[in-house]
Amino acid sequence: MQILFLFLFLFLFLIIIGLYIFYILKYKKVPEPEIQQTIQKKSVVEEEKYYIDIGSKSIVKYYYYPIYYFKDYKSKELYAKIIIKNNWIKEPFHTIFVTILNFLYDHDDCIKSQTTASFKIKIANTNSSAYAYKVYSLKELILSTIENVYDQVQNEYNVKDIQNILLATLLCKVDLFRSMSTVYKDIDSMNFSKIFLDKYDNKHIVLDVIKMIKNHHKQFNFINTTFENSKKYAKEYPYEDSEINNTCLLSISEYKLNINKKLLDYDSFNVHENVQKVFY
Amino acid sequence: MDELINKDTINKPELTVVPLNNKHRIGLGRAFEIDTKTKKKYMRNIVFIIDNEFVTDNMADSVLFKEELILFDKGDGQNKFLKLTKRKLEDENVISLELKLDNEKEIFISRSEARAMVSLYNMSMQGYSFARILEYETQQTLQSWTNILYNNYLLDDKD
Repeated sequence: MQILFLFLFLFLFLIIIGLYIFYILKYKKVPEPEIQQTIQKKSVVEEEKYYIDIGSKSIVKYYYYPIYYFKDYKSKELYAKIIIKNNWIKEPFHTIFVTILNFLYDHDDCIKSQTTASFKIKIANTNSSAYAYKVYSLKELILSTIENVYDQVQNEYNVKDIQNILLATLLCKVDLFRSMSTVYKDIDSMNFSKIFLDKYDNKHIVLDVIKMIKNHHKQFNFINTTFENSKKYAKEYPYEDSEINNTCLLSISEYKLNINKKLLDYDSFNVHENVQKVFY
Repeated sequence: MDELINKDTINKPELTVVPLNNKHRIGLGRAFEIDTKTKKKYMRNIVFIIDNEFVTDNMADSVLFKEELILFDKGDGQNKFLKLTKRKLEDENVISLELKLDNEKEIFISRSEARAMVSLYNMSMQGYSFARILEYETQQTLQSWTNILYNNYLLDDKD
């Protein structure tokens, strides 16, 4: 009898263990495909791909600013057209160009349009009044001038001269920002542009070019004309003039790049041409 | 008025200007709301515009302006907008209403001009109900006025 009971207990014990194993196997958590691993793998492959330079056989690293750093579509397009296609990665021109593009986005201002009728608006209950008219965005005008100036200049000058001219065109119209005149009464655009060009090697050349543009010199007067011509096809926005004194403060001295450059976001800029020039 | 009036602010107000006087460039701006479901136009605001300047901005002021035009020489120093003056035109003493604009421009309105403007005002109001203005007059801000002017192509230069 005792042996029979023992067998029964063993039998029951085995059944319980079997059920337990079956339960574990059935309701066991299936490990999800790890997303982090796949991303890492892709990035590794990309890095390997982009380490190789097409023009020369030596291995060169290309560092560019990532695509999400550009807040505006137009500035992103300019960055792809001017810097990535030409491989102008040499510092400090690369960072100065990008900082000015983002500076224009943050402190955008407007000019009165050439073809507007200005209305004087009043509201009796609050004793407030303003002038309503149409304006151009200064940022859009400057960016379109740079695109046109680059097209005119790219086959005529050396690489370094083109870079100097582009920086000068970016900075020569900074006088038109109204917040400049209200906050910095003593600073001209010349002193203002010195802050940006602090670490630039050919600083004096850029400042000379800015002077020549302002004095309508023969050599660089086409920049003024392209700026005026860009107003023809620029977009116009409605604007009321009551908020002149409430313009935001400029913070130039604290204006720095916080995001580091990344290893070549080449495909994200939609530039598919093979880069074969190596300048430096 | 059998219809149930809802407080809709979704429909964009449409501003049209009726020219009241071509010499002084006086116009009457009427802001309409167009209901696409019932296919009806409702007037939401009336404004006097003189030489690209909004003289009045709400219904009550513009009615007051019209009444001062009607009174003409019976008005006195209590007038809000128009001031009664006596002046000489070619050795003839003339009574006229004076209005000062913000750009230091003075306008003199004669009796016949005032009567013509009032009759044009009355013509432009025919066929519209005043129920929606009186109950739900739109309270505009500076920004909304500029957007209305921009959307109705009144900021384009026509000179």
